[in-house]
Amino acid sequence: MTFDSIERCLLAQLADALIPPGNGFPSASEAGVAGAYLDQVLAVRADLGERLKQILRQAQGRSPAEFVQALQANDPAGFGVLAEIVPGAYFLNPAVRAALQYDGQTARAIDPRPDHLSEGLLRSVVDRGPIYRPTPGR
Amino acid sequence: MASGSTDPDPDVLIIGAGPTGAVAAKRCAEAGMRVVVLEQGDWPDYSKARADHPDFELTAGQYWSANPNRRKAMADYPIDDADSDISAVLYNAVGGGTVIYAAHWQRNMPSDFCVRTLDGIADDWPLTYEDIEPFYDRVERDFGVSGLAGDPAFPPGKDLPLPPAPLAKMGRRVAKAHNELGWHWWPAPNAIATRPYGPLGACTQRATCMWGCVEGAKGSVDRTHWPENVKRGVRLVTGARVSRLEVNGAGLVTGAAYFDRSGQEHFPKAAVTILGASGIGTPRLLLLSASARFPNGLANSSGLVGRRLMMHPFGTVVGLFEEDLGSTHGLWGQHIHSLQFYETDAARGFVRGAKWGLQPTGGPLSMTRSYPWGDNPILGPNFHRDHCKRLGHSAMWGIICEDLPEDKNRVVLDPVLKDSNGIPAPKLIYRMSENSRGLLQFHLARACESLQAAGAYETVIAPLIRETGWHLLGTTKMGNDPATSVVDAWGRCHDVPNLFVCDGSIWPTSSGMNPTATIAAMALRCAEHLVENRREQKVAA
Repeated sequence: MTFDSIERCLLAQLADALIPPGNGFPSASEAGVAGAYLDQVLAVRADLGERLKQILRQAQGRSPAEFVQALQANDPAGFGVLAEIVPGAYFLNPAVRAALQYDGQTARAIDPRPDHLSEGLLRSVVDRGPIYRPTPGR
Repeated sequence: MASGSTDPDPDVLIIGAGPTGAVAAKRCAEAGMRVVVLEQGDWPDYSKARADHPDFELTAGQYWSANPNRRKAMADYPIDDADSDISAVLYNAVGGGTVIYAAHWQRNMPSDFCVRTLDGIADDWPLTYEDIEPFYDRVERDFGVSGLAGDPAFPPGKDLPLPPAPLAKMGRRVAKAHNELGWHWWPAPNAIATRPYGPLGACTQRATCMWGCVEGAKGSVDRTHWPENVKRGVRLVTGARVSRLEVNGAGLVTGAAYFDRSGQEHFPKAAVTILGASGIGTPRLLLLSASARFPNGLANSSGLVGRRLMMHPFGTVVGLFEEDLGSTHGLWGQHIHSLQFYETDAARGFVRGAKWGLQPTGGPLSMTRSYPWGDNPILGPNFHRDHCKRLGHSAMWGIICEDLPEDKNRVVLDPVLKDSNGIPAPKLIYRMSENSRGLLQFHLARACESLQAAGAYETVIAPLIRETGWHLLGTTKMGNDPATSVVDAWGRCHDVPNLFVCDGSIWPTSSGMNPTATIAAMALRCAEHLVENRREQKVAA
């Protein structure tokens, strides 16, 4: 499914209502949410495309902020599609990920040194004794 | 055995290649029995596991979705859940529910087997903790369970085969808080390999355990059991959707009818049949197997097939912390668990309890979703401030609530809905009880206190969501009296002596624990009994 420049422009406006610039981070549109990252999202989530097109048709001629508010209040499923696509695309941007100091669900080997032994953490649990009810008659 | 084959009929036909089928097939094959297993799904496709891709969070809920109504894979059958407070989630594939489970490996407590005796409600199991304990020990080795012996919430037992997962920053914080509160906690048991173990790789804490473990560290039976079972001679038939069980004039099961992927029907025969198709698939199949001799469904003279469905209402509390806990990563999975409020305290106004498991919260997209964050939307003017407060700075308790059995909560055949082979689909009729609601509210409040004591400056109680019916239990009750139960203490159907049910369907009560440990141990116990008594076993001629 393809989106033309008018649709992308509209999406950029809605996206900025959800993710404005701030705290050193770019806005959604500045991060390319309505551009290449939208295409990346739809490449793996084609199921979202048709509903997004409907939403953009509904949003034409409306104030982006007011439209997003109304969508959230009156059409939670539609808002859910927008709320999946916009931040989903935003967090694909490597610059955003770098600013978050987030490099993905990367592998982090388990430290073989056990961390439950230090500070006597388990001592008081053990000292409080059993907390289960035994089988009757045992 | 598929029609047209020249192989002799198997000794054992197993329906379902989830944990029950895997464990039962292993034991029967070890004993030299010929075993055929019918599984409607295929092997999981780990090329679709994208934990190491930037789009992981966007794609995880597709191929790895736990809800068959959403996943709509070829192997899935639809489930009518319109009349249920909770949607069932399951996975139709080699490995079954273990493909998507979080691998929280919880034994039941002794009291879980004697609820009637101790709390005056529901039923006792026809066995005790001590009866099942040796089977826990054995399956824990097969599944590569990690954890630490000596937990005072359980009777003393043997060491687990692998050391526990790290407490991590979040676990250490909560552990210290619980020590100050005088509340129980313990390094959590998981069917997740903390070191390389047999066919399992070592966990690398990606927190993606439910959506395709790329390291192969999770103890799902497609990895721990099936490759070895197949090498041992078990014949595993995938793409085999069973439509009914066949019964002879003597009232014994002779085998099953199934459709292959092309829609062709087959009629494999066997001396003994074992059902391991889940708390929904198993009663569905028994109800589908109604006949003139068994007009209310096979093995259903008690009228209990499909009834007493229990699904474990699930709650979540998230805590927000100033400290960076590194909680994008970890085990999903659990780092610590608490059973402080597991046992009944009548003063609380309800009976029974819940188990808590402490987990990470995941990556950046997860911070924006309605679950677990509920009506705390962050999309809008303060997005970046609020997002940074959550990402890596949050930890959550997942709370498994015991569900008591009620006859009115049930699985029936849907009068309209059918699967792609035209077989009637299951329909769930389930309402959460007042006891469960009271229990859940109490535990959510205590979990908030736990996280606040650990330093959380804010806690968020997740909304109750429908798609939490991971634990499908109780629909072919086990007991000694054929008038009030479907199977005996060994899973043998009272009405059909060569038909066994060994999955979570047979649980008389649900416990408040993640059930796979006990499902696996019960499957082994039932299979062991079948092996030991095979010379006396009635079989179809």
